[in-house]
Amino acid sequence: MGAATPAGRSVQTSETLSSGGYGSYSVDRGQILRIVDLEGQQVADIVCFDEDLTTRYSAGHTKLMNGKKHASTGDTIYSRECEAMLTIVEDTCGTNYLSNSTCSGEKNYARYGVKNTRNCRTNLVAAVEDEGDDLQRVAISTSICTFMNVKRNPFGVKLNREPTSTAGDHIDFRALMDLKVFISNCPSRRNPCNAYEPTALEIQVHEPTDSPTESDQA
Amino acid sequence: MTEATDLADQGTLHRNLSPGESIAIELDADQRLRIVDQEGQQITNLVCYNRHAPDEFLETAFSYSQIRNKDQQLSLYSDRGNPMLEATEDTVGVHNLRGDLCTSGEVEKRFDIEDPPNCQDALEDALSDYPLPDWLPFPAGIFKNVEESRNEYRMQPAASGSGDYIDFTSKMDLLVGLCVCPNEWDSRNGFSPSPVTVTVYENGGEDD
Repeated sequence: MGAATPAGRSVQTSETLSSGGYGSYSVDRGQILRIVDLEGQQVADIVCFDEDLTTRYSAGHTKLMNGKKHASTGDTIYSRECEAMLTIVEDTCGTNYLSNSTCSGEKNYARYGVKNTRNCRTNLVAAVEDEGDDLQRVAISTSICTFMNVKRNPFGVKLNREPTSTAGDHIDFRALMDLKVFISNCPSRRNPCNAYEPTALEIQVHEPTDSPTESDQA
Repeated sequence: MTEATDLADQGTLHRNLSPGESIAIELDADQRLRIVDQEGQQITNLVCYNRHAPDEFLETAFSYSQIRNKDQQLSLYSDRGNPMLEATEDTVGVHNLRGDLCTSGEVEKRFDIEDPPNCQDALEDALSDYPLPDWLPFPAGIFKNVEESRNEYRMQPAASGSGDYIDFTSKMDLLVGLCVCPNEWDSRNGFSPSPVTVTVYENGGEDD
C-alpha cells in the first residue's frame, strides 16, 4: 500500500482518511502534501488557503496562469490575486479537475432525489469547524479534485467518469507559501466519480531533508 | 444603493455602464434583466445572491454541471442547487462558467500595471452596502470566450457583436452585481473595453 517516499524527504505526518472522511492539514512553505489513492478510483476534494485564511485558490486564475485547462506535474495552483500557492511536483495518475462544485446535501437531493446524503460540503464545513476556523460556504464551494475524471461529451456536456487511478497512485504538491488545506475524501456512492464505491486515502506531509543527491544535482 | 432604490420605486432601471463600472441591482423574482453589449467583444461579469439570505450565492461550477445540452439557454444556479437566473433570450450563446473575475493582483503580475481597474474591486464596491459573505463568488462571464479545447485555456475576444444581448428572468428575489470588465491588456475584451447597457423590465412588459 501507499507509495515510496522519494530521497530527500522525510514523512512528517501520515494519516489515513477513511472512506468518506475529512481532515485539515497545515503545510509550511517548502513542505510537500502527498495524497495517495490507497485502493484506486477515489477522488479527494481539496480547498486551500494561506494560513490567515484570507487567500483562496482560484481555478480560473490557475488555468489562466498555466494556460491549461487541467493541472498536473509542473503546474502551479494560484490564488485570485495570482499568488503561487502550490506546485505539483509528481502526479502518477495525471487526471485532476480544478473547478469542481463540491457535492452537498442540497445538490445531491437535486441530482438523485435522496436526502441526507454524506457529502463533501458537510465534510469541509466540519473540517473547518474542527480547526476552530471561520470560513463561509462561499470559500469552500469549489474545490480541486485529484484523480477526478471529467470529460465532455460531443454536445459539450460535463460527464463524470470513473477515475483511472489505481492503488498507490499519488499526487505531490509542494507548498509555495504556508498553507492550511482542508480535504474531503469524497463520500459519493451515487456518482461514477468514485466508481460508486468510496475508499480510503492517505494524506502525508513530507519535510525536505538535506539530501546529498539533491545538492549534487543542483 | 441608489440604483436599487430607483428600481424599487419605478419598477424599471436603465443604465449605461462604462468599462470598469459596476452596479448592484435588487431584482425581484420574475423580473427580467437585459445586458446589451453596445459595441461588441465586451465581457460583463455577473454575481448574484439570494437577497433575503445572501449566504446562498451563485455557484458557477454547479451551474456548469447542470448543462445537459450545449445549445440550451444559460441557467444560473445557487450553491444550494436552486435556480437563480434563466436566460430567456440570448443572441450570442457563449458565456464562461469556469473562470474567475480579474483582480488587481492578476493585472499587476501579468502586465506589470500598478493599481489597475479590475472587476473584483469594482464589484466589491458596488455591493459594499449589503451584508454579504467575504468572498465574491466565482462570476458568470457573460459573453466571455475562452478557448478550452484539448488542454488549452486561452482568452479569446468576447463572442458578442455590437447590439448583442442576453435576457434573464429572475427565479427568486436576487441581489445582482454586474461589472463591465475593464481589462484592456489581453484579448478578452478585444483589447478595447466598451460600454454595456443594463435594463430591468417587469416580465410581460414592453421590452423593445
